[in-house]
Amino acid sequence: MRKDAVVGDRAAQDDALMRALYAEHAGPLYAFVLRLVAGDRHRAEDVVQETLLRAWRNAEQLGRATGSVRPWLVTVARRIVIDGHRSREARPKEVDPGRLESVPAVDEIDRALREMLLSEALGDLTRAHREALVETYFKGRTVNEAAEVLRVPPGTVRSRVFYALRSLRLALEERGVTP
Amino acid sequence: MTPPDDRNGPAEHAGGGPGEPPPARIAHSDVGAYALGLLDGAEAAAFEEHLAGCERCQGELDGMLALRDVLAEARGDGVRDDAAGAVRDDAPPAAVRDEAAADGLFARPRPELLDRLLDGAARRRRADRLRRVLVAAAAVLLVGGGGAALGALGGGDDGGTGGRTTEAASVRAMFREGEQHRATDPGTEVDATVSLLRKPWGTYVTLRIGNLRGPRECDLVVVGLDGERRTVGSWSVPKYGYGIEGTRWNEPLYITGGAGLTPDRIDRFEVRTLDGERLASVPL
Repeated sequence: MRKDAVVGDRAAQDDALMRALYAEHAGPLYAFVLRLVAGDRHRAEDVVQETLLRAWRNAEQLGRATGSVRPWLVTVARRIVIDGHRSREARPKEVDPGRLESVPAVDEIDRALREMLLSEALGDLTRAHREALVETYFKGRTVNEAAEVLRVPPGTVRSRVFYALRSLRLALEERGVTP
Repeated sequence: MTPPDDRNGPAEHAGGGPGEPPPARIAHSDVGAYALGLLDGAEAAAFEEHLAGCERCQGELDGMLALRDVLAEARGDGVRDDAAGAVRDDAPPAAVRDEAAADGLFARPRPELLDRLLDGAARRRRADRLRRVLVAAAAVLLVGGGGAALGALGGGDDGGTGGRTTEAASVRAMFREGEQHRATDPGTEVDATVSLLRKPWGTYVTLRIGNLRGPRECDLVVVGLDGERRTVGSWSVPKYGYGIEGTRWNEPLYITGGAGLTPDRIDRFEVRTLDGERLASVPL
């Protein structure tokens, strides 16, 4: 009886910790990993899952450290991608392991952290604003080309791009980034 | 900061800026598209003409260009041979890669991932529980030393082989050698003595325990002055118990193990059942 209560309590705490890790990091980490595995979504989810499980298991140590967990997450996720690649050479879409050193350079981690923040900030945009950026800038289209794809007047696209950038700046500032 | 008043598109042209009102087909909010390089040549030229005389747009442009730098890095401009770019010799052409990069930035895992994580956590929690018991047993094996099959030995069990007798003798020698602390629990009447030898890695612990009835499983826990608890070893007690006076099994049980704390950092030892019931507490 008493043992069950203790175990049950532990399980609830563990679940809460895992949910917190997921809410805080799963999205941006996934966006980062997806690029490492050349867009293989299943593989990216597997890597994120393994990374967050390891974070969960090491929560006590990670919690004691000062600063963000993210550099740790990035390093571990990267490591899992490399190890995975080595153990299945046959996969054609993986990153060339020759280009991925086992220990990432500092600027590579910084870059990954910036990307994760940006990915989060982009997640704050409304759908229309996000779409305006994707269909223009990220797909290499002019406003007029994107307007045809989106079936809205070009002026609307320009205006949405403008407000999307403003919202993005706010979203980045909220995360302590001043572009 | 006043937003441009042309949010419905360039059909309603904004006027009243510090410079001249924008000419036809130009709106202040075009500065975003201009900064990202999304305007056609003629449109860009028209906007530049407007920009030359519009302080508001000039001020806005700086911030927009800084944002473009952030987006450019994320889009992968100029870092295509970087490790994070997932590039191979047969890499697809630029536009397609940009699209993939954009998809990555906006992509989110499927919600099932959370379920998988919670399942994984539950699985590992169960595995860890088992692992803790195994590690405790392994500690007994490792620290018990001398090729001993088990660091634990009970009185009635060591009469067999010569090897076991040697083992029993060495564990008892270790026990005699150490600094001893004894306590009898007033409730359970379990009689526990720990004998401590200071080592560079911590403390070599030998427990002698008597008046311990079975069947049950127990562990020996060291509690540091900082309140941290660590298992020294665990064992099971057969139904006839150990060190029960007036029976055949009146010999106490000896258990050896290690604690990663030196004696000066130890507050007490506790003998517990694996259910968490405290059988004895030995303060230092």
